[in-house]
Amino acid sequence: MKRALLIGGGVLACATAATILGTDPAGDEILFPHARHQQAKVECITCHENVWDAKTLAGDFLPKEAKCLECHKQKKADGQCNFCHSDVRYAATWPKREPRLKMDHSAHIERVKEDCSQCHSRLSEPRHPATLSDGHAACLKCHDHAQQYSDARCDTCHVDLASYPLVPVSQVSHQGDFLRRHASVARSSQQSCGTCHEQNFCLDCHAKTAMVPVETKLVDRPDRRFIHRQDFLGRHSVESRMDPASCQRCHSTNTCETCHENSRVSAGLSARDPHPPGWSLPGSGAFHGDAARRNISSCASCHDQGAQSNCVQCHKVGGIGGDPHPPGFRSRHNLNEARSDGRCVACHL
Amino acid sequence: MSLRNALLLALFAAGAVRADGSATTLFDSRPYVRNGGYQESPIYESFALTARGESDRDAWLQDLRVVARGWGRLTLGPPFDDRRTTGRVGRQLAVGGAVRATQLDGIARDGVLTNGLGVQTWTGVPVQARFDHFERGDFLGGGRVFWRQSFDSEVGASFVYALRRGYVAREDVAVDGSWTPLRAVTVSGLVQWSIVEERLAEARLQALWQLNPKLQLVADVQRTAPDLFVDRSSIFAVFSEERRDEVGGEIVYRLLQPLSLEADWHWLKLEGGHGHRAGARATFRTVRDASYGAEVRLITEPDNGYKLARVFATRRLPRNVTITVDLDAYWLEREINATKRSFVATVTGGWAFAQAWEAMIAGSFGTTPYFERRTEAIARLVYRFGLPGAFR
Repeated sequence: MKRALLIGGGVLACATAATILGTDPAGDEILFPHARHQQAKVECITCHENVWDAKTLAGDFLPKEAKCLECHKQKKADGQCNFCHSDVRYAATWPKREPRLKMDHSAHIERVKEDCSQCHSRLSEPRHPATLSDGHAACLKCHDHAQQYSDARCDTCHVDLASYPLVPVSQVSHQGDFLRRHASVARSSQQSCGTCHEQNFCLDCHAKTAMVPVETKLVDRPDRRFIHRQDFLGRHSVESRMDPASCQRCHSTNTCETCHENSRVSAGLSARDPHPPGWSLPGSGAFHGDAARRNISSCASCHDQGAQSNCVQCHKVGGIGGDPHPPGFRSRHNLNEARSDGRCVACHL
Repeated sequence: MSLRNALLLALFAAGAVRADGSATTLFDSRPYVRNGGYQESPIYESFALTARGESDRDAWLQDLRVVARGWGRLTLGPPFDDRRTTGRVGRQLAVGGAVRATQLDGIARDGVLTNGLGVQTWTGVPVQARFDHFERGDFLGGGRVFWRQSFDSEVGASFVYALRRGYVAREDVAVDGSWTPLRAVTVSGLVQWSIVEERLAEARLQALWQLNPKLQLVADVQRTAPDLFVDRSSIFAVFSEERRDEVGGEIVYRLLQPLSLEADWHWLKLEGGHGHRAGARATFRTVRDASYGAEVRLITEPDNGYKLARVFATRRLPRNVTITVDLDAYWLEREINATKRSFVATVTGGWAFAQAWEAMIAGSFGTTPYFERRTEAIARLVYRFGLPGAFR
């Protein structure tokens, strides 16, 4: 059965992969060769007339079909749709773009003496899209935004940074395994993170009451480095041994305890003892005292019931288990403290 | 009509608010091990809304934000660009220094006061995880003082005090910093000290160097005391004093524009021995939102470990259809339920079928140590919206 499932799964996955790898690129592209139009001395304003007086980017600055047909009427008459469209089956107009910058073209056109290449040095070609402008370099040629940059006041020019699809590759680089590294940066740069990320973004992972794990919500993002991806259940004992603190940052021991109890792996609930042989024999190599010293979170994940914990029976004062405190504990906590602290009363009667 | 709706409507009437949001319906049928194992098939509904004022006329409105996860944000004082402090009331995430990232129901305030010098304060009741219960005597308070030279260079000192059932759960102080001396170099670090236990709870130092646009190097070292992450109110807090050290690094190399190669390796020193955490990943991205990747990972510990291999792909198809595939397999060193292997394949198909609507279905199947046959089905429906009058 297992083999059949594996084969079936493999076949389906391969078929899907073949579909993914073997399909034509997505969507129609309007094939506009900027270089050829420049050679033909077509001015920018001929096609992008509206942008000349535009005070914002919230407008329609790309030419309509009628503008193209002023010169290429015959192509359409001859039915040569692929002269302009990469995929005539799904011929489409220019994709709609959300404006993401505060940019007043009308105020810039005269300053650059109508030389659009001052900011737009690279133009798109068929099958070779280009960024719309030269980015920071174009702006910083003339504008000194040092103070805004220093204060992270990106809103001076940018609109809604959180909606940007890309992550920074320089300046707080998000490349590589940023997921594991981000805590170091975020804990000393909370306001910088807040420049692009609202708390809704952080809470997808950090909310203790999140609807579902982020791996489930964004299951269609296999490129993202999620912690609990796929069969994390089988790996979680290894991961929690490797870095128990990492688990404890989000999950209390109650979380482990409840799940272990419900899945009946807790001692007393399971038909078989989850502990290895020699668990209660000192010097056995699997003695529970040594295991507890190595990874106390693991013990707490099932046995953390306060005064009702089964450790208390043996390790309380006078019990057969002896003193469970680690070396050095007594130098920081004395008996008077134990008598006044309600937590200690379970053992120190 | 709720107070929030009334507030938003009033602001929309003034034509001063931009609001964006999404409504997500999610169906997830998957096997659970609880209570002997069964297929659970819940449906979830999630709603998120962010609204903020953007009027040039009414500058004070620029600093009002409403986010429908149960918390809002109101900035007092001058408009956004000159803002000094921010106040938050409600359920929120406290981030920074000793508080780590802690969700709480309460009040927070942060901002720069003068010459880059600022404060953050938090107070409230920590949010309890699922399955936990709120109990009387739960409290969290703390603060952080920082000096911010620029947005990528900041140092801070912080304090956090948390009670659980009336007993001290955490009482820590920390100093942290992030410094970018050169554009290509960033160093960040943190030292956190447990006042109750008079021990180091956590220390980490990380340096990132971008030699050139194609090559990035990271080196990091950290020491943690895992037992200090167990709630101090737990009886297990008195049983051990653990120490865990980790040192290693990472390299990211963009061989070609669309091809990124990444590798990382860390040496771990745990109580009872040492181990390794290492991995390598190659990702190829085309200009048309397609990406293909392969990854291998290895974790070794004194008494266990696993090797993992996965391949994944994302591809956009005509008609706003996107499909993905994710094949994930790992091999454990020690058996669980007499099995060492796990294989899970996940295939998804998404379709943006209308301007604001997107549907996605996912199928996941495989065999794991806990399930001889594991199947999971997920269906997701997302509606992204801008409220009437709120679009630019």
